Amino acid sequence: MMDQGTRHTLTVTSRQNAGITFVKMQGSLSATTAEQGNQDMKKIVDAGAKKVILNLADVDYISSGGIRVLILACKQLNNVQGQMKIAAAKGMVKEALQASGFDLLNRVYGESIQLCNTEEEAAAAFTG
Amino acid sequence: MCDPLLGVSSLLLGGSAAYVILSIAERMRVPDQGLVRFRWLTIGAVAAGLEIWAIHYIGNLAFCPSVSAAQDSGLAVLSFLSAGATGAVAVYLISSHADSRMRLISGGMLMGGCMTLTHFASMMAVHQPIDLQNDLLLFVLSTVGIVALSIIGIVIGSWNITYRNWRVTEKASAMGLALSGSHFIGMIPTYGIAGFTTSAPPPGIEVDLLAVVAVSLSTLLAIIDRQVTATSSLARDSHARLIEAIESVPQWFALFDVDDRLVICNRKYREVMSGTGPEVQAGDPFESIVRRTAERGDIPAAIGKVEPWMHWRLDVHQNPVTPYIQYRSSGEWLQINERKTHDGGIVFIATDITALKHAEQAAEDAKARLADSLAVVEAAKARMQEELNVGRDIQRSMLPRVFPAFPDRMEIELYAVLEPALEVGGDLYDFFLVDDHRLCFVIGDVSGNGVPAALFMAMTKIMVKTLAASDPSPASIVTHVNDALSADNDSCMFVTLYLSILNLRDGTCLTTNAGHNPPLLKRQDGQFEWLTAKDGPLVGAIQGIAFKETTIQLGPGDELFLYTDGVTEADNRRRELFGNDRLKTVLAKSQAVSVVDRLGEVMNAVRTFAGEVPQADDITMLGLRYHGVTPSNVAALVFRQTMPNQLMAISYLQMAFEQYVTQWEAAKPLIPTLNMALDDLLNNVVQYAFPNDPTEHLIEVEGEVRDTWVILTITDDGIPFNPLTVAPPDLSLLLHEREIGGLGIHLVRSMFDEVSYQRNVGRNVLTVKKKLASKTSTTTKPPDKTGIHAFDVERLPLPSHEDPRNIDKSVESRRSGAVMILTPQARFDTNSSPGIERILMDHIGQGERRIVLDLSRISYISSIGLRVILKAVKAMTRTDGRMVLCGGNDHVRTVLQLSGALMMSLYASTLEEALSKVQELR
Repeated sequence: MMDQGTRHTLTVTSRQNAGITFVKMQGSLSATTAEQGNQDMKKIVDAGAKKVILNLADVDYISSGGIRVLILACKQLNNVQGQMKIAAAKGMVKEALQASGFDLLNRVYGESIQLCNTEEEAAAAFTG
Repeated sequence: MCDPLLGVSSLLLGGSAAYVILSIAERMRVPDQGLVRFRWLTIGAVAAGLEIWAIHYIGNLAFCPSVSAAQDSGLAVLSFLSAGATGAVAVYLISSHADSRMRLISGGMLMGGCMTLTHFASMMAVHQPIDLQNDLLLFVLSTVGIVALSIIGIVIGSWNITYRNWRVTEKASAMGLALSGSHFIGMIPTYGIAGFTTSAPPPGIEVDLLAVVAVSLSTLLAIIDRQVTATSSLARDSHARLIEAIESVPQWFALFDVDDRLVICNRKYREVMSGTGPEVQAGDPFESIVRRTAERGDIPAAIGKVEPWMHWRLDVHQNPVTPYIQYRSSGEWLQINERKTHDGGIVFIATDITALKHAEQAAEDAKARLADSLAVVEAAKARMQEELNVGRDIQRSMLPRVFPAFPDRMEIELYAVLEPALEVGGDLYDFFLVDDHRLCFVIGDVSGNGVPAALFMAMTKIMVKTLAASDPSPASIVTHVNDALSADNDSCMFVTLYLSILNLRDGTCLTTNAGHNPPLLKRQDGQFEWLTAKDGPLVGAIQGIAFKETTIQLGPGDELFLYTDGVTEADNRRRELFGNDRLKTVLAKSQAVSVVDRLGEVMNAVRTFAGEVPQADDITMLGLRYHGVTPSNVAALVFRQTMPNQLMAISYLQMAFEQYVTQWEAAKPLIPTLNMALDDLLNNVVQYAFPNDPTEHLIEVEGEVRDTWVILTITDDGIPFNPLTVAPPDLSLLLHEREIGGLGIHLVRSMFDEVSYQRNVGRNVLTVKKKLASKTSTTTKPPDKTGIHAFDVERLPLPSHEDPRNIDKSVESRRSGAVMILTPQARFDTNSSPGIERILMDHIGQGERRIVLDLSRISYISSIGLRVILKAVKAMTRTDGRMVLCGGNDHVRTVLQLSGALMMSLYASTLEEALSKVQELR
């Protein structure tokens, strides 16, 4: 079933464990799903999440509109002294994040935003 | 009673009479009979009258009257008539279902009266001589009895036939008894109560036979009547059911016979077809019925053309095929179905479809309204589309789209294309010449697309262009753009940028990749390879990021390919992405000769790949091929050199720059000034830009001669320092050494036409510009009186450059009487000053009181040299000595003039003058 595929869908689920909010995204982060992604992430931040690990293992596509979702979430978390780690991005998602300089952002945000390989690595990278 | 047989016959006749009355009354009960009802009444009157009369007559005969019958024919007729009246009253009362008891009783009394009349009239007709007055009481009593029995008979008759399960015969028997009883009671006045006399029947008449025949006939008739009644009531019932059926259907129903006359119709049909005119009746021809309605104007279609319409209508009627719709003036719509019956008649059924029509009309109206609304929506959509179109046009007009972009620039070949996914998009590209030899080109992609992206894109593009006009560094431009865009950017829109400034003279390309897709570079004989340098994240989302820049050296034939992710993220039906690998493959296979074709091939490949999948994102590409500088433009090369932050390096750089500048005849006279500027400015940087920093830094010096200008740019990554903010020195106080700090920049500012400072990202950029002396002024310029080969670079004493510390050769000393003449060689700057200073101070220390500093041999002097002079002057002032300056080229004199009145007070133009001036007394 490769027809419409997941290009137009995004599922965001989250769970709490030891003070860390694990957010798992599935589908694609494109212009079509960006608004939904923004709302879902805002809900999570509004609910009081401070340490967020965003698992992108099941995201197979990201566009500039999708990257904006991540930046907005970062900004919102930053406003509440939160931190966000992006974990397990792979394939074109990882390439896109690197190409757009996401890995350079922690020069500005310090430890508060980071690209990590796995959730474990991300969890270990939290400070404070 | 003399003849019991006749008595019984009379009794039976009573029953027959009752039966006749009941039977006829029953028929008369059927409604809607009109005249038929009257006919029945007449028949009933005659039949019942006959029977009743027969009762009396035969009953009379049973008493064997002494005279023969019908002696008085007048009374006989009267009795006949009253018997008929009796029958009529009975039939009428019973048939009319009178519920009212009063009516029954009064009817019964009327009937009784008639009966009495019949009785006594017939009695008197038989017994003429009877004298009724003999026994009046008996007569009255019998009359009352007759009336009472009549009432009883009527009441019985008007009871329902099936009352208490009585059948007609039982009811008729009871009624007959009543009738016969009334007869016998009537006999009482004549024959007495016990007048049973047996006498012989009158002769001559076979009365018995007659009575038997009469009774038999009556009975037979009653039986036949009974059968007929039963049959006709069956027919009547089915007729009634038919009527009920056709009345109960909601349609209009009519049946016409083979002659096209109305057989039957329901009330609906009748009412409508009759209208205000006479009622439609069975037997009316179809044509007349319809013609009446047409002439009345009931059929709008027929108004004014009744005949043709009738013709058509009859044709349809006679040859019915399909139902047809008729509109009536009343506003009703009928669907008329006509069908031939098997016997040639025609069944007419019309269905009122007004509601359906209204519904249809409502649907039509709704459809029309929907169409109207749709038109409104379409109009709004068209307006929005129009606005989007205008937006798209504006946006497109922002992008340079005239190609070839720079037809007169042989150095480059450039082409760009932007294929928007929506009307307005978020991609951008731009290219423009910053100045004569620097090309700025940029490609970018704003997050998302549509109007917000387009606005963001427009802001970005304008900022880039504005900043690039004055800022030579892509990193600096992008940093500024980022700060400007990210301020108050709550929506976190961002743009990825790849910004380059290419120096067309030497192919140096400064680039900053801010989160953009890596471009590809193809060396002249190589393949396209990714340029993976990343100089910063995406632009506009986060404030305060310092972007870097990367230098790419382009050689002739090198080609750059820039693109947005619309290319690599185009997807096909299988949801595969075009991807980097495909892009690289397409480029590698591309045999395109021109950049235009190259981009065309990539675009085709993307389109072929995507197939029918709609384009999701803007597709933008920019290709650039550097052809290098054509031979005729060799002299246009720019000077660029870096030096370490060491004072010694200054002179090497000056030498190289001299060589560069010498290429231009008109620029040669400026060499001393340029050397001075380099000496002062670089000295400044080396000494003050890197405090407490032992590491080596590179200072970048860029220079060029362009048009009528010499431009010199010094870039360092030292601490921020804007020399232009240093206050000009108070020239009257120049003796104090600490004031000298501002002198160098003062000289530079005074001697150059433009001096500008810029703090780029981590860098100080100082640019000075000097206008070349025009040719005319050059030729009219007086020859250098000093005769020193100041401008002859080739003949500069190279050894002194190779070893600036060779102090022995830096100053020539000779004595003329009491005056020591010191002549510095070549130059008086950072590197030569320490040597000159030491020699000067040595002489002063040795007690020289009169010193002439002959500046005629130096090509230029910088503030460093001035400082040495001032130091010496100060030192000699303490020992009451005197120092005079003399000689020097235009440049040196200008510098001395700019250094203030004090310095000029020490100056003499020639050596002779100086010698005399130095020996003057104070």
